[in-house]
Amino acid sequence: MANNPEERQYDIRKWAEQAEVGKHLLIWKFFMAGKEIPEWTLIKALPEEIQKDKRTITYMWQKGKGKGEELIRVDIIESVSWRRTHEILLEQLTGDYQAFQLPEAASRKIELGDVAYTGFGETIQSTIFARANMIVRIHSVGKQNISVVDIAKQADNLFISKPKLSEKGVIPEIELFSPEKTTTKRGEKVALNIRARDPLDRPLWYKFMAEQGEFFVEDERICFLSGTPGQPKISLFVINENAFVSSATLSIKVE
Amino acid sequence: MDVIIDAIKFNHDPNSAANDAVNIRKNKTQFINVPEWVQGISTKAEDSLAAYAIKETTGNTLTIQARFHADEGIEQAEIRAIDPTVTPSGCIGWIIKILIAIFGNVLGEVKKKLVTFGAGGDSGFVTFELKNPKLWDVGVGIHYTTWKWQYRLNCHSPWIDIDTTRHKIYVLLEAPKDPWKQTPYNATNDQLPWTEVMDYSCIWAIGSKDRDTAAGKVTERVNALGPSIVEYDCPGGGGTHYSSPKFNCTEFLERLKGGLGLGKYVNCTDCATIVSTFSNILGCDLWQSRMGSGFGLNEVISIGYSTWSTPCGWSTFNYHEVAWKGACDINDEVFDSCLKVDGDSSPRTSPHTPLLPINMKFGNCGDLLYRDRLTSLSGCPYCNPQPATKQHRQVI
Repeated sequence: MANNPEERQYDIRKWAEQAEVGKHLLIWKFFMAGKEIPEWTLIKALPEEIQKDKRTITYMWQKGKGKGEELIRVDIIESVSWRRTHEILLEQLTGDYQAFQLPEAASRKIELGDVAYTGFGETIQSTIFARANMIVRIHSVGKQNISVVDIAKQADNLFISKPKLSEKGVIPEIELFSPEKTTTKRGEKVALNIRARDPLDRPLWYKFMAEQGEFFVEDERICFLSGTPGQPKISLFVINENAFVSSATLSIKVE
Repeated sequence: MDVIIDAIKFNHDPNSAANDAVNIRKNKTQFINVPEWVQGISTKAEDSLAAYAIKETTGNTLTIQARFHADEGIEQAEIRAIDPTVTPSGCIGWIIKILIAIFGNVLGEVKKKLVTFGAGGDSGFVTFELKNPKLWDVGVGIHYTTWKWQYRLNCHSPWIDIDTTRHKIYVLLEAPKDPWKQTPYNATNDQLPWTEVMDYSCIWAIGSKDRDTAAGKVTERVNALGPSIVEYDCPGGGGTHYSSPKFNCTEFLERLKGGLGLGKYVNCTDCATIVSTFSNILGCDLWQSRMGSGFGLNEVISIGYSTWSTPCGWSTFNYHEVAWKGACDINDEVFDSCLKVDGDSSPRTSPHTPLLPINMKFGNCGDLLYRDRLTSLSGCPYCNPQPATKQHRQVI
């Protein structure tokens, strides 16, 4: 057996190739407030753990009224870029799992995330996947052993879907969404100016989507970078705890 | 004319545990204020918590501090506290004697002292010596002390009752070790030893008089939490649930108390962290440390399971983690609550004899120690101590 388990077990270069959706997406300040998983009740959100370039929040969701009969644990790790996320995923898989290698989700015909692995057994009670700059780890941890596949897909969909804009209700207000400069060169980063608020001062989370290029967070600012010339459109979606959404767009000329 | 007891300090010197109690808190969010007993606030023993370290106090005179108020006209009084526990005769008496031996008063009585009352009848905090403490004879445990406080105005007067106070006293082997801290002693230091952890550790290791015995008992009790409280995470691939990167002790305590916590699954990292953290609060000195990586396994019984197999049917472990002594190397002993190995002379073949690795030297391949009992013949050379991974995870 080789002595470098990281290289032996998981291929981070392959992950980069398969992250086509996640590369053009960035999630920022994500949180779950209770409406994200239909039919389930959010019973606990642990205080966020902030480390250098990632923040982790653990959520416990319960279904029905039974005490812990159907119980799932959702860990969400938000990092600063899809690249850093892949590194963190590798650290997780090699440092937090005793199993030598988790099965790839694709090998069990499950489409999930940019990179996804499952647990063992006929009923898939556990999965870990990376999408864009996010890692989601879902475990069924209650008395009943249940499949987490559908829940994982719902969680993934929170990231990749273009949310439907809200027409009614108290919606977030986007006060500013502009690039630091409107023209840039290939491979040169552009910081984005963003200011949004909830009319009731509740927390907001943000989703950035682009037709090309990629996002990353640097010094608490969102940056965009493209290696291809063009005039990509960048969309911003701002979401509050009731899942009400506002949106704005901009474009940057990449020479 | 009367005397009233206002407050009692057990941990009256936060810089030392040689004559008084150690620095503690209740849990992550609740600090224990000193004085621990306060008139009108402390009614049950659980309202007045203190922990003593056997090693640090051995050979020393234990002291407490108490504060009194006297009516006008009383300038001085002798004050003491006696143990009012009375043991009835007969069979019930014997049962009560046994219970007292296990859970009864270990602090003895409060030696009489002449107390002077100042302005407004306030004595200020007065240091009292304890008489006949049994702290050093009983080993680890939880004990309940009841003191009947009395005063007399001169040595010819009868003793007059002041009040009865009740206290819950934890007896530890030594001052708690990492991750538990004794400094800085303030409400924001959530790494001060938690009495909610002692509530379990002191019962799990009851009567232990040395570190190895205490850690061994904790290891047994953690393993015995399966399958009702915890279970090895086979469906999830042996993922860490309570201890990455910090030890979520708050959630684990909730699980111990019958709540949901973070669910039923644990892995070796969790077990190593629980054993070392719950042992070290008693004064043991265990690390959480890894071995690896990528090594073949023998058949074992994983925590929460009752049958022999390679863990979850996997032939290899990516890594394994245990509570480990000393340098966490080949010649150091491990305490592994996560699995039982075959304890007989041929650990790689049936029939198997279950043995929980308690204070078992890691060893070299061929030594018939922990390493041989855990790993397959071909896997053994790949299962190496990784002392660089040793740590004490912070509790949250």
